[in-house]
Amino acid sequence: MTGEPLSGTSASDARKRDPVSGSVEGSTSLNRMNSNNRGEKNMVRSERSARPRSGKTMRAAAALVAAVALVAAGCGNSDGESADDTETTKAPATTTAEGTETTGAATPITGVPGVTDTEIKFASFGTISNNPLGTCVLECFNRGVKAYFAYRNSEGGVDGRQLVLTSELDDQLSKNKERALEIVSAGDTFGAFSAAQIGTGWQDVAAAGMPLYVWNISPADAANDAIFGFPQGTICVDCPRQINGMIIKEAKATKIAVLGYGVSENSKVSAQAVQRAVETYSDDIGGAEVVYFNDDIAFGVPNGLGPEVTAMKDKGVDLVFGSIDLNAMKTLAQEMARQGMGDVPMVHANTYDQKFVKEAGDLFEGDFVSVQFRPFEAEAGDSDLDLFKEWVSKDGNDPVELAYFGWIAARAAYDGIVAAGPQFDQAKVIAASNETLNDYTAGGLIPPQDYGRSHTVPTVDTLDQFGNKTNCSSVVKVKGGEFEVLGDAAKPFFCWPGDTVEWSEPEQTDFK
Amino acid sequence: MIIGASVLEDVARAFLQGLPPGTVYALVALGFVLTYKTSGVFNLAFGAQAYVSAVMFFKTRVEWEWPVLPALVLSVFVMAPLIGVVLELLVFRHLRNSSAISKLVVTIGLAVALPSLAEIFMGFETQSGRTPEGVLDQGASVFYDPFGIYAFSRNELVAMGVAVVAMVGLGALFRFSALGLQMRAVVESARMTELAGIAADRVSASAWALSSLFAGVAGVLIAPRFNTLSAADFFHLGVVAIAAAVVGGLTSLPKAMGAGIGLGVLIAEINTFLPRFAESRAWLRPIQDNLTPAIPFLVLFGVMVFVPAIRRSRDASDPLGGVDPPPMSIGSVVRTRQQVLVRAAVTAVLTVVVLGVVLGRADQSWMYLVTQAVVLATIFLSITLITGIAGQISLCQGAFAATGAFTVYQLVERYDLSALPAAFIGAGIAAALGALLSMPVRRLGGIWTAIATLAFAYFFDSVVLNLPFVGGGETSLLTGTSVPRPLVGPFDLADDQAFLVFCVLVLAVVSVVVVNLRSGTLGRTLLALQGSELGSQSIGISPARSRMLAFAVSAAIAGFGGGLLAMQQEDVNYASNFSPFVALVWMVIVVSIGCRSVGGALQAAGAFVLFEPVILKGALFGWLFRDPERIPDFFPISGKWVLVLFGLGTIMYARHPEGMAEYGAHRKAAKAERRRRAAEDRATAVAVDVEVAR
Repeated sequence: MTGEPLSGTSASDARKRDPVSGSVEGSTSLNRMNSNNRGEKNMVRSERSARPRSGKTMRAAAALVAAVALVAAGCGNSDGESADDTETTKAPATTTAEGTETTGAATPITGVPGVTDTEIKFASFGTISNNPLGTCVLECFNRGVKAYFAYRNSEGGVDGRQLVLTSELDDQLSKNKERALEIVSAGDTFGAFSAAQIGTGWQDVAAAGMPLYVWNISPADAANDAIFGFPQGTICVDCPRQINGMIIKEAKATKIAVLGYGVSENSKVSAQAVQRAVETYSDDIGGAEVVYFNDDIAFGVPNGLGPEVTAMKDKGVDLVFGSIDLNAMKTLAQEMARQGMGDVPMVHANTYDQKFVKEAGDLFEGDFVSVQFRPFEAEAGDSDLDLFKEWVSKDGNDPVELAYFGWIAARAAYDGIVAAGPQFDQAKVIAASNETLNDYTAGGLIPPQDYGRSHTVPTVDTLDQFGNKTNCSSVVKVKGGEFEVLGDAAKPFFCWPGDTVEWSEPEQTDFK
Repeated sequence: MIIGASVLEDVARAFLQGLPPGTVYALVALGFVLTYKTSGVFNLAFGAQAYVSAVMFFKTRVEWEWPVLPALVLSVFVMAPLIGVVLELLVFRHLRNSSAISKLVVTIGLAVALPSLAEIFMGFETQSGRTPEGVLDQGASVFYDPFGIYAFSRNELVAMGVAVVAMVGLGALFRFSALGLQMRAVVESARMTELAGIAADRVSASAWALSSLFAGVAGVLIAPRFNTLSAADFFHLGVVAIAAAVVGGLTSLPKAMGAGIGLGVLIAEINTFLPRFAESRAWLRPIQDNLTPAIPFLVLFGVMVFVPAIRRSRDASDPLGGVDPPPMSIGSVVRTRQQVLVRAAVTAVLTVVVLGVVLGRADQSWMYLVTQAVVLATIFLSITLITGIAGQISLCQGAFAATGAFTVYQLVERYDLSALPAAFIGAGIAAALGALLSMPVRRLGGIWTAIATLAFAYFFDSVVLNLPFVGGGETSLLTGTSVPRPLVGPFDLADDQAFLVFCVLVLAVVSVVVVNLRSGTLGRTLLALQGSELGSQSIGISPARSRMLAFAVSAAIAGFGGGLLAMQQEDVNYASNFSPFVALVWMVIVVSIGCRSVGGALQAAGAFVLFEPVILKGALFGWLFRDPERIPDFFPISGKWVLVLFGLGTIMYARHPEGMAEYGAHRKAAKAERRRRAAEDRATAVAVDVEVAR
């Protein structure tokens, strides 16, 4: 089984309908209507010929309504299973450790899309043009994918097969589904990667039985056994997060402001989760409270943030959380500087962009950025951080966040294939990935992810079912226009037990 | 007393905080008024023109690192007026006798086309963090605090100064200069001014150069307010600023400027005080939550509905317009009953053949695209009804379609209802919404209906969509907005082929409904209203009732189509399918190709969905050469060309409101008719000769 039935319906829907009674009732109505029409027929005939066709139209409309009633009465919802007969495939009995290299010659494989004796082909699709935020998405993600493939191929590939990215499709922001179906229809690639602002096509790729590796900013779109999200398999969007409590403690803040966009549910829920975190952990983090909360900011902040910052200032805010994009964070920082709040630190959700922060001068000085991966500024230790930096820069590219995710995703794709064994196919790779990548750190670059269960969006109540075993984050702080790791750079991850949102002191640790 | 002083200070501070955004609205509003006064065109493309200059300034300053002066000269004083002159020469000169609504449609097309055209030719893409620079050094980081309660940046002070100078200067131009008088005179009557020895064309070109120059100035001054340069921001800004321009009746510069600043101040005051009041008054909280982001659109909608000047305004018409050759009559193909039957038969056969090929040969991707085209054709028929038959420009068809789609989602999600009956309920709710909307806007007519519906579309986008019982709220974030395909009797429409057949049947039914409506009482009533509203009223036609019915039926069709689209994609996908800008593009494409006929809607949907994959991505060449490998290297061509070509295609609308499709058919039919008559004449001549010879 490679895909889940679409939510919102159940297989029993079809059984719930009652076509017989619906049909009889509909027919009766229709007969009554016809009978009435016959009664009037002779009387109105002469008039009708002199009139426009309104009467006829009305009768046609009535007949249409009756037909609609008939059809509606015989309706149910499909469970979608007729279009998806894929069988569940078990991973091979022998599992392969993360990152194990393969050295043997290619075992002949036939009938697997995108796999030849010399190559394993992948496609990628996502946002390049029309991105209103102007961030580098698919292009940067692909740089990471290509860098990892280049590295892996230099080591011999997968049993002699080279990993190649054969097509890169721009979804122009709104055509993700179209591009996904192009890939599915072409049927010439083994798996796919996606970094998109709107992942409407992800489920289609998964439904076609292809493994899909994505930049996971849309947990609902990524909820599928065949979709592997990075840097997190899945995200509890409304959970209070201990890392926010820790940052508040670190900043010694007591009066918190939280901002979110009104038009983006993602931003709104994220802002509410921060508010919940402050309320939940208040007693443990020095009595902090949210004194200013606004999750109705107009997208793009066309009217500026003057009144909002004034309100924050009046309330003595000493730490600002922004669940808004990096451009709006800059606007916020400018307005805070204008109103004499330049020294108040902010906590960013989306601003891990070295160039952006450097170019902003001292606007973000002292700010915090929380990330779900090993920051570039951390010590590499035994991780693959230096390997990533080395290979991504071979083509003259800077190591950036999306390239990092691309590298991690490509590595997961490789590890899944290796785990599936020499006679791999798509279903085996998906199954093997779900079975073996359950403490997965992609070479120490991300906190451990359990892909065996992180395909369903968890809530506070289901964290123990669908969350990771540990809940880890890193924090960087802006100093002199650059990021530096909060705490010990050799142990960049702050971790809490994954099955609870209760407060506890974090354990600072490292992963390999 | 202390509290009073504090409140006064807060009021004053909010006033000052509202000045910078208010100045931005004022600049755009001045641009609207300037263009309207000098050209008679309500230029919805003003924001797009401003964006083009802002992009050029950005390229020269930030990317090419030119000094300010040459960058300013090129982007504002050379390129902007040049664009204006080109638009006047190629487009608006030929539209002098066209209706205001035709000109508005053309500017909507330009608003869609110009940003993409500029981005293609300048190689520009929005880049985060690359903040547009102002005209002064450190314009965003050096502040001045003249009143001691709120500081202004250099950029903001420059913008305010320019706005004041522009208002005074332009006012003086119109009041005291010969050129200003000539510009206004040309708008009133180009012919009359020519009789007075004034070269109307030259004056008109100067007017467009001036208004475009102002667009350039506004673009460069506005850009630094956004930390990233994006066409969407400029369009959005333009929509908001319409309210200010309308308050000035599109003619008063001081009123437009005052209204623009007033809008900025109003928003700042509300953002200052509403949250405070809401803290102690729980009933205000939902208003703050839901309405705050939509204040500009509520103001715009309110201005449209409640400012009486709007209803009194009439299209200016040149009293000597008759001197010019009359505009071409709207082409209409008149067919005999036999021709109609043959055509219907050919269409049916063709549909069956195409459907057969698609069902038999198309892969999943092409099947999806063809189905999407069929579903969109159904939605586009709502535009055929409201624009082609009722003569109203509605820019909120996306909101109606989204209403249908979200109704299906909610009814399935909450009540486990089958998607198909849910779609009918969605159509009903959309119809009610359409009828409700038509009440305030039905008296507006002309361009104002278009603008009011645009305001409604943005209101829907920023408020209605966020209501949990519409957009799903947090649930949609956690589980998406998935919509299942229905089962219809024994047919499981989860099968793509079955669903395509079902959609074709729906399209056929809706087409028949639209054709019947057009030829029935409603259609004739609406056509009569287009001809003469007063005349229609004199024979007992109620414009209000007829337009309400047209809006309701059109919304119902759009709503049902929206539900169908959600079923097809098995998700609502609001951002991709129904956003205000997407709906604007729908209108542009339908109007370009033909909004008066069912065929026009079908072709428009085909073009909207298939133009890019078939033409721009080179699939056509692949089919012709029977080898995808032989597609020339210059493919794929940027998808932005779709917006450019169909945006510019609206230019056709002013001269041929029947659209490209019907115009082509009309020409073909006229040619055939001429040939037939010539043949008849020849036959008659031969017969006469024969008779004479006998």
